[in-house]
Amino acid sequence: MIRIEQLHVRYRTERGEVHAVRGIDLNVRQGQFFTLLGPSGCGKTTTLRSVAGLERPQEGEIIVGDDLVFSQQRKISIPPYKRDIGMVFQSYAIWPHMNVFENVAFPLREMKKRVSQTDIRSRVRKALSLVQLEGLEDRPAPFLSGGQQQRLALARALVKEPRVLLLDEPLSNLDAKLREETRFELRELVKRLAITTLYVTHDQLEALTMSDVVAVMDQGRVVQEGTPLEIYRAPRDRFVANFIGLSNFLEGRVQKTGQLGEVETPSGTLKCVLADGITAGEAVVVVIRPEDVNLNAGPASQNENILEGKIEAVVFMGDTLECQVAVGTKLIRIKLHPSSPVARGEIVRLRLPAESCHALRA
Amino acid sequence: MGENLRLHLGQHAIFFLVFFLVLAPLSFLILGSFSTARLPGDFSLDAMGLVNYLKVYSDPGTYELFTNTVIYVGGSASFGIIMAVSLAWLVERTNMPGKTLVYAGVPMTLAVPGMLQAMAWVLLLSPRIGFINQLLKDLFGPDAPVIDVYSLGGMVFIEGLRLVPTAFLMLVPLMRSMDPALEEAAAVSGARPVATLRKVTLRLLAPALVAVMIYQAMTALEVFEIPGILGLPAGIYVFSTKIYAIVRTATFMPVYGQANALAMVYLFIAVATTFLYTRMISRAERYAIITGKGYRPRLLDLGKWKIPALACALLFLFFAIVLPFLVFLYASFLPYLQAPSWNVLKVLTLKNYRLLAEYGEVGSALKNTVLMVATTATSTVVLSFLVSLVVIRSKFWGRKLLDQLAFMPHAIPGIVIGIAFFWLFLQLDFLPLYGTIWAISIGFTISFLAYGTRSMNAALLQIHKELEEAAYVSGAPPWRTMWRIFVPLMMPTLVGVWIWVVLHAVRIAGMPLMLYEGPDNQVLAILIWNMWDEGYIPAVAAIGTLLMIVLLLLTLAVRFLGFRRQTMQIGGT
Repeated sequence: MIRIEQLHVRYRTERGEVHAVRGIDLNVRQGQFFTLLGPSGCGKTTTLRSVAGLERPQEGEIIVGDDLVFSQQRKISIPPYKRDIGMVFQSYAIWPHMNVFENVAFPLREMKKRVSQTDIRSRVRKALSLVQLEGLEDRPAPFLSGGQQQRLALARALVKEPRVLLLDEPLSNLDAKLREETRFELRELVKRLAITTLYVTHDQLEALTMSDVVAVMDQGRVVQEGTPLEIYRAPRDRFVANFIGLSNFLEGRVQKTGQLGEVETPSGTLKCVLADGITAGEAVVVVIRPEDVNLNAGPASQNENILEGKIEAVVFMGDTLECQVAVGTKLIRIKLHPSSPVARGEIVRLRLPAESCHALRA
Repeated sequence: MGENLRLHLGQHAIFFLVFFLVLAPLSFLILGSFSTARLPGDFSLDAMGLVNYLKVYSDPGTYELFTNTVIYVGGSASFGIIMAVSLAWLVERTNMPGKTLVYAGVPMTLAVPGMLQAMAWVLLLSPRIGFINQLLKDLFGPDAPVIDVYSLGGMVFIEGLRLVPTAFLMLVPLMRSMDPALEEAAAVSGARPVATLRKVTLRLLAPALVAVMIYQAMTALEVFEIPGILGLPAGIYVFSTKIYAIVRTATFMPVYGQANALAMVYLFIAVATTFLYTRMISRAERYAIITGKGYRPRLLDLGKWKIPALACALLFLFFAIVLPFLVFLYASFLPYLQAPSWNVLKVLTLKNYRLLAEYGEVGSALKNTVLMVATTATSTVVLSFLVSLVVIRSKFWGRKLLDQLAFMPHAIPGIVIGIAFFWLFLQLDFLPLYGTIWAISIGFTISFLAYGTRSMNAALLQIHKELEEAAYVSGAPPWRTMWRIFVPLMMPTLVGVWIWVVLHAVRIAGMPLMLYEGPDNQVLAILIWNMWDEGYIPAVAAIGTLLMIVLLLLTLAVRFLGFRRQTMQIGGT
C-alpha cells in the first residue's frame, strides 16, 4: 500500500546540509499499522512528510496505493493536495477560524469532483461520530479541549476516506492519562476501518502497544524492522536494545558458538543466544532486560547463568522495585516485585536465563 | 504539474513587479543626477555630465543646508526622545495618577498630521499674526519679546512633539518587560531610587534607547511638511525642503538634475542610518533585559511630585493635540484671521464650511483623495501580503532578495521617491501616468511596502506551518490555501495595515507635491498646502478641523480593533 525505495532526503539549514533520510526501504501492506520509531532527529518525521508530499526527497521512489507519487528517476513529484492521504499533525493544525463542521468539511469541499451539500453533511456527521464528536458541529475550533482537537484532526483526516492515514506523533500533546486511553481507541478505530496507517512516534510504549510492524530508525536509516515482540525480545543491536526498554549491557568475547554460545565477560562467563553469524573470538555485548533477572537462591539449572553481586541501591518505583547490583566492576539493574525483601549491602545471587541473554556484535 | 507552473509564474511575477517598482525609479534618480538636459523629458544618454554635482556641492549654501539639517534632526530627535522616555517612565514605573489618560492620549496625537500641527503653531507663534505674540504685545507693549516659529528652534520643537507618540509606543513595552530583579538587586546593594534609575535602569535601556533615537532621527530627516511650513517662508532649508524648492522653481532653468544630485547625498545618509538602525536593533536584542515574562515592576512612589508629574504629561497632550485642534476649530469660524477676543464672538461664522461645500476644487480634491487613498491602501495590502507569502512561506529562489527589495524603500525619504517617480513617469511616456492620482498611488505603495511587509511577515510567522500543510494534505492547492487559510487568519493584520496606510497616505504632502501637476491629481494634502500658501487660512482651518476629526476617529478605530502593535513599529509623519 505504501512502498518506499531508496529514499534520500537532504535539506539545507543555517548550519549546513542535513542528510535526514539515508536510503530507506519500507513496505507497508494493506491494512497494516506501521510505526516509525526513533529518537528526535532520526528522520522518521521527514520520511512521513515525504510520503505526504510536504518534503521533497532527493532520491528514491514512493508509491501510495497504486500511484507512483514520487520518483526521482522518472521526474515525478505529485503535490500533497493530489495524493490520496489523510494526515494528523503533531499540533493537530485545527484551523481556528472555522468551526468543527467546517474543519471536517474542508477536505470534501476541496475535492476535484464536487460533493453535494447533503453528502457533505452526512459524511461530516459520519466522520464525527467515528471519533465521538457528534453534536459539536457548531463549536468554534478553539473552544475544544486537547483531546477533542486530536479527535477532530482525526475526523478531518478520515472524512475523505483516503487509502492511507499518516499520523505524526498525534498523542504527544495529550496528558499521560488521556494518552493511554487514546492509544487503544486509535488502534481500535483504524483497525475497524482497515485503513493502512503510517505512524510516527518517539514513544516506545506507543510503538509496542499499537503497531503491527515497527521500524526502528536511527540517523536516517532503519535499524530494525519487525513485530513489537521481535523488536523487544530480540533487538538487533545495542541502539535498539538501549532505545526500547531498559537493558543491561555486558561487554565480552565469544568463547564458544552453537545453539547456546558462551561469552567471557569481566563479570563471569555467560551462556547466551548469539546473533546470526557471530564467530568465536568476536567482541560482543550481552543484552539482558532487568525484568528477566531473578533473585532466588537454589541451584542453577542447565540453561541459567548465576552471578554473585552486592546490592548497591534500591529504588521504590511503585509497581516495581529497581535494584542496582554490583557484579565485579559492573552495575546490573534488575526489577523485582515491590514486596521483595531486599536491602542495600546484601549479597545476592542473580539468575540470568540463557535464552534472555542476547549477544550482539559490539 | 499545471498548479506548480502557475505557482512558479506567480512567484516570478511578484518578484519582478517589486524589482521593477523599486529599482526602476531609483535608476532614473541616479541617471537624472548626471543629466545635463534642460528638462527631464529631454533626458538622453548623450547629455550626461557631472555639472549638477559640481553646481550643488560648490555652493556654500549646501553646507549651510547640512548644518541646518543636523541641528534640526539632532535637536528634534533628542527633544522627542527625552519627552517620550519621561512619559513612558511615568506611566510604567511610577505611581503617577491619571495614567489611563496618558496611555490613551499619547498615541492619539498620531492623528494630527504634521502639516496641520505646524500650521497651528504658526497661527500661535508667527511674529506678525501669532495669537501668542499678539497677546505678548498687548501685555508688554510693542517692545515685547517675539517668539518666532519660523526658525530652526520652532522646527525642532514641533517635530520633537511629533516624534513622541511613536517613541512612547516603542519604549513602553521595554519598560514594562524589564526584569525588576535587576533594579531590586541595585536597591539591596544600597543604591537610592535616583541612583538606581541613573546607574541601572537607564544603562540597561541604553542600547534600545539609541535604536529608538536613530529611528526618530530617520523620521525627522525624512519629514517634509514641518520644515516646509516653518522653514521655507524664512529661507531656512533642510534637505527635503531644498530638493522641493529646486524642483518647484526649476520650470525655466535647467536645474532639475541638481535636485537629483542633492538627493543622492540625502539618500546616502538615509540608507546609512537605516543600516545603523538595523545593527542597533540586533544589538539591543542581544541585551538580555527583556525576558518577555511580563513582570509587574515595582512602582516608584512620586510623593509630592505626583501632581506636577501629571501636569507635565497633560501639558504635552495639550501642546500636541488639544491646542492645535482648538486653534483650528477657532480659526475655522473666523471671517478673517484675528486673535481671540470678546469681540470675535460676534463675528463667528459658518462661511468657511459653506465655502468648502461650494468650492469645486475641494470636491475634486476630496474625490481624488478618497480614490488615491483607497487604491494605495488596497494595493499596499495586496502586494505586501503576496510578497510576505513568498518570502516567509515559499522555497522561491529569490525570496531573501525580494524581502530586501521590499524593505529598501523604508530608507528612502518620500520626497526622493517622489522625484524618482517624477523622472520615471516622464520617461515612460507610453504609460499615461504622469499627472494622475495613480502616479501618487504607486509612489505611496512603494513607500509603504516596507511597513506592510514587516507587519505581514510578523503575522505570517505566527501562523503555525502545520495549519498550511493540513490544507495541502486535505486537497487544497496553494491558491485555495491562500484564500481559505491565510486570508481569514491574517484578517486583523490585513485590516490593520489597510487603515494604517489610509491614515498616512491622506496626510503626507511631500511625495504628492513632487508628482503634482494640477487639479487632476490634486489631493487634500496638496490642496491644504496650496491654500495655505495663498493665504486662505480660515478655509484651511475648516478643512483641517474636519480632517483631524476623521483621522482621530480612524486612530480610535485602530486602537479599538486592537491593532496597537502595528502602529508601534513605524510611526507617522
